[in-house]
Amino acid sequence: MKALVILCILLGSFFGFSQTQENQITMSFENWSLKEVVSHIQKTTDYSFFYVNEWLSGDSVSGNFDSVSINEVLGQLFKDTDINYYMMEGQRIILTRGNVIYDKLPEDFFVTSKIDSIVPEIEDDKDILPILHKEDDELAQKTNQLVRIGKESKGRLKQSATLTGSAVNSINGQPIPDLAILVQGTGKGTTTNAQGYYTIDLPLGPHMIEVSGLGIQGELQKIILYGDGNLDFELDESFEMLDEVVVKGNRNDNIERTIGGVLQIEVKEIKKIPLVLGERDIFKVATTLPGISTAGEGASGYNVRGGRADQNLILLDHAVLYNPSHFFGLFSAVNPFTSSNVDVYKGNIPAEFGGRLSSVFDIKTKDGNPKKFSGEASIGPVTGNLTLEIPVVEEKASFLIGGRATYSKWILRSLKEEDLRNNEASFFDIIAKYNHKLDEKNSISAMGYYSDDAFNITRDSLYSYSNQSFSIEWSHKFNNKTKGEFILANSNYSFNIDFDVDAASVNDFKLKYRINETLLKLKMKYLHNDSHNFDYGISGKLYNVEPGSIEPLASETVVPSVFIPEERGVEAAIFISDDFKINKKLSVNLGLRYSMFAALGESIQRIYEEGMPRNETTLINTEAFDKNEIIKTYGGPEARISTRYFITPNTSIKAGYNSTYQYVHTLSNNTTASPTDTWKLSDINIKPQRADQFTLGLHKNLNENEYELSLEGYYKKFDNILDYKTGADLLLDEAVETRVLQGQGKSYGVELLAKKNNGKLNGWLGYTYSRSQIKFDGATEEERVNNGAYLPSNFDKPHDLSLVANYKFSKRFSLSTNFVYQTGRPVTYPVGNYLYEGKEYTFYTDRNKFRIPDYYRLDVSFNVEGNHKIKKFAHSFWNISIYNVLGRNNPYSVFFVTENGQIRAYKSSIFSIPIPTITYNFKF
Amino acid sequence: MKVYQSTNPRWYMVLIPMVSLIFGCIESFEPQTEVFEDALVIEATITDELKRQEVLLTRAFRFEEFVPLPETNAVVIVVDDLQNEYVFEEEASGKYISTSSFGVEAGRSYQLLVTTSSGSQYASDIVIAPQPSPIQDLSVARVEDINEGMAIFVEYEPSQTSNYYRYHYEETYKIIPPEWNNQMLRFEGPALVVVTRDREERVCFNTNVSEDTVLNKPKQSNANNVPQFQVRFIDRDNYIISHRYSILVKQLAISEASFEYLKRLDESSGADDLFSPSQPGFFSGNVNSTSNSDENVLGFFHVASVSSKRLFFNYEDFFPSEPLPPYVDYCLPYIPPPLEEATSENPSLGELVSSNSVRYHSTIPLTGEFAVVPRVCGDCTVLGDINVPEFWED
Repeated sequence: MKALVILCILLGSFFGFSQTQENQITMSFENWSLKEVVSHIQKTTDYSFFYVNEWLSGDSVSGNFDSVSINEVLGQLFKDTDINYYMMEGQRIILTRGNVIYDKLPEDFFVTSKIDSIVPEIEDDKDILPILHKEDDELAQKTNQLVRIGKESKGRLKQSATLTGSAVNSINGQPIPDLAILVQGTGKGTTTNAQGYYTIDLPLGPHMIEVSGLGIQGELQKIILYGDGNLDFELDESFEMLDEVVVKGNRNDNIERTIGGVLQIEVKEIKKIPLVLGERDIFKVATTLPGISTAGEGASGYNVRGGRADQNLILLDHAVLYNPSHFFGLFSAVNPFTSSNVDVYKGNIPAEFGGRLSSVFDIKTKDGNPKKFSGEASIGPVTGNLTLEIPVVEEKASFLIGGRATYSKWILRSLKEEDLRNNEASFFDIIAKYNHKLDEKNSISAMGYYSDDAFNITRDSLYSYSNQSFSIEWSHKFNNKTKGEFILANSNYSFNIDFDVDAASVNDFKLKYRINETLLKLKMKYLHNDSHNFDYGISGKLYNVEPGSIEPLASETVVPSVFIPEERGVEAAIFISDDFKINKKLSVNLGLRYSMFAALGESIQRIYEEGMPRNETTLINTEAFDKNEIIKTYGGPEARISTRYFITPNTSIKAGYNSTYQYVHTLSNNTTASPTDTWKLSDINIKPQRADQFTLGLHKNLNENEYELSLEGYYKKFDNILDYKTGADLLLDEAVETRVLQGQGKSYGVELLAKKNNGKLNGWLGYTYSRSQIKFDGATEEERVNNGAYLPSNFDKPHDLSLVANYKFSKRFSLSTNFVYQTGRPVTYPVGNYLYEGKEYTFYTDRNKFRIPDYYRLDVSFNVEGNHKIKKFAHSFWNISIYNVLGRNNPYSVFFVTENGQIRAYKSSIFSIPIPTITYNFKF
Repeated sequence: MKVYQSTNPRWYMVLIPMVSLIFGCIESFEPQTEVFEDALVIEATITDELKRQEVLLTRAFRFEEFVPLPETNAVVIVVDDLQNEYVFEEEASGKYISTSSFGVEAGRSYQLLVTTSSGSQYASDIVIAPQPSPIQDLSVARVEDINEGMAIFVEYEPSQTSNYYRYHYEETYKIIPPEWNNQMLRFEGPALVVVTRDREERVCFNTNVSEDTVLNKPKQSNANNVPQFQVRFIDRDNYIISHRYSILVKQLAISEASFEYLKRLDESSGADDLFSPSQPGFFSGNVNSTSNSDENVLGFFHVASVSSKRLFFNYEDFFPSEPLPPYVDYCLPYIPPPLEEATSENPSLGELVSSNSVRYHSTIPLTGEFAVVPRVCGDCTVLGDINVPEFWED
């Protein structure tokens, strides 16, 4: 109220200022409070002061003045505060506070103004105070209280000031990175960095600051900028808000970032997308974006810009996730509750990443809340999910643990139907993360992850696979410009097939496969100056592969035991990149990575006749290598170059060139990635794969970033990609090189993404036209496919359209829909039978000559938010989804098998009817 | 949470369809050939045997059909590198026989040319006839690898390594029904009486021809062992080796291309993992259309050098005093019901004798009833032929 009174006085005396005659003051004091100083002056001079008591408590000051003007005294006195003073006629001095944000601001909240403040020349300042008050009334509903920032400075030396601040999540106190800070009407904006801080230069005067981010309740903040100052935000999570960007946290980022082909998925927002069987899935969202597709419904593996499924580096807190899906890809193996965000690099891959050709999915687990115990849970028809965040050392260390499991096992067992009872389909995963901020310069975090899947396809075989990984990251700030991260990560992936017909049958066996890798990485960040920002470092990886064994289970057995010797390899790389801002419009990101791979013994390598197809008949020799002896090395430079140019402030054009090597490959004779795909290291016979990608993109934001448009084109060339010879069975074949071909590939496409970021109706439309082709043109018929011509790859789907739309009826009710259309994937169709030497064979077309019918699907989900009272123990959220509303029977594959001399045809489809699900989530 | 973990019957409403969807997502169906591609199928192996060589021409057929249509009225010619033309004439529908006898000569090259009645022209790659590589020897051994049984090996000499071979075989074996005796039942008026057999039904012979594609490329072995290759394995429980067994192994020296083609063809018909199938594709042989380069042609024109050898062995030489392999039938004697109790499932003796379904076994001493065995247990002609093959040596 007092402030209001003062404001009214100020308003009333707006034009009444003039230079007053000055009395000379002499005084000396030590460790007085401001209030004491002010009342001393009031007593000893004719000046009278008007102020609010609280403003002057706290700070203690010392000073010594000898016959100086009141201006000098007050200037000195209030130099380090946010207090301005106004001299009015009658030697009245009014103190005002230049910066009010919240009542409970921290002590060190206020930022020093560098110029002594004296009586402002308010006459010149037409844009300051009075105007605002009118607007305040209309905007009261959606804006926060007016905030004044900085102090008026005399002399108008600066027409602009620097606004800095940070944004934290009001619930868990976590910094909010990538928050968009926009200044309405100016076209200016910035974003918070990883620590939640931002800086922006603005003209002095009133501004409307808009903050928005994914999963964050946006705010409008009216400010009056008097000088340099601080504005912090404590923001709520937008649990119910639909008018947020789902994919990007950073609104300007799409046009500003130097590198192209980056997608950011904010995990919190995934719940807006209709679900299948009630599971949120990061990867499902990714596939609604241009350039990323799956081989089929329920197929694990993602194809990014025409690349094979093994060409994606999927990182969970630096550790590679070899199999990112549960249950044939119906569910993602990444727990959406514990993940914070995912960066998908499909165009230019930062130089720090390598080892895969097509993309990097960089998934980060969120830090636990260091302030208070909190959690989130969800209950769906298939799984239950619980995440807990536990503070360990207040404000410094926290622990996060999340687990997910199916209850299908229990449900299947309790069914009466004998057929179903003996089935098994279950999975679980658990993730834990500990992070500790040791001091200002050091922090560590450690993550552990384990997932397990078990299912049977036939009654007598049990398939199981598991991912297991951990990582430790130590980050150290050397100084303000240099930061380092030291990372140790280990990943393990294994699968087993237990074939167990009956108790102790002679046919029983157990098949095993395992790959393990350990990464050591040092990454340095060096901020040279405003225009150069370097990242550099080294990394090394050790692979151990146990390609497989078959152990008979019964003592009397007809199963021969098989053991394929272990493979080892080392992958090392050095990398450096510079994000170079040449000028305001042009920036270049220059990255270079040199990678190297050495296949290590011990091993026996098979040597084949030069220039002949590799098969058992051309095998001429074997060569033995000792333990850790280098069998063969491969390596080469990888360029990661991209550039961005602003055509207009809201439109940028980006171009890039990206080259990559890949030293590990999946061997798969399946159309889709399945858990039994084995990873094989490069060796004497299998060369590393290589890819080059050229990209060109146009990015535009419209209407203050309400709409985002991007158009990107790419051309990608592959070398030494692996594919299988017809009919090859790759599992547990010691001489796999005789089963595969290495050839060329090319893919190209245009991707269009249009997004509406807010409003009652929001969402995005992605459309991709792309082609992906491969060519195997060896010297002999055996090494050729389709006579050596380019043929569509298994995942060549020229048209791919995704529409995600959310409509918000009210704060509590919203509707989301998701529509997907894709050209049917290529298939090799059996076109007839023929008789040859008395036997019937199926006669196939050229490989991938035909396509299965087009795929389309519509999903709808209805979201109901629980009551939004803050004091309520838990915040709840209901999701009711219908997957495949149209009931489209999308064939997943069509295939033909010769059984007992007869051709049998099979078709598989995963979900051919609408699948309704209901999921309950709550947060506490 | 606890509320939802307890048994709630409503969950089943969602789960049962879900579970059956996941597990029932693969179904067999009757395919209709949507995109049938007609194709010529060429089956030709010409050899160095001086004979009238044979070429078979058929068409590929739709799934809904069961038999191929022959390609009739085609012009079939084999040309060698000396421009000798060997003309074939259609002996039966789709079966073309050379008008004169000829055998390929090692080192000469041959090409098959076909012009169909519709005017389409086809030509094979030019194939060089392989050097004769006669079969060295055959051996037989009782082996106990995974299963116990008899293995028949082809023996090579060192110079034969790195050649490509294909094998056909014909196996002939002696059959003696376990319950044969020299008596039989015959109607005398309405009554059945036991008389001496009037037919030779004790010893027969049967011949099987190999169906599998047997291929081998012998490799130089490190030791001085003679390289050998198992062309045939007969499980010890297979009745065909019960008495005396003979096998004629025919060794075809073929080109590498022929070898690879046959190998891939053989592999392509294997069963796949149902959930994630492998993706087969068209693989061409060595015949192409010269009138339409987009047309796929099936089959292969093989040129081979043939040699053969025969081997005999007796069961008792390898399994002395061991029981014989089980016969095709348990051969348990039984007494058929009297006429009044007979049913269609369990017919009377008279019906069985009339329909030639049983053989006499014995007479029950007190009742005078006749016990019989299924015909196959007392009559070898069910399984074979009583004529001794010309090549047979006892």
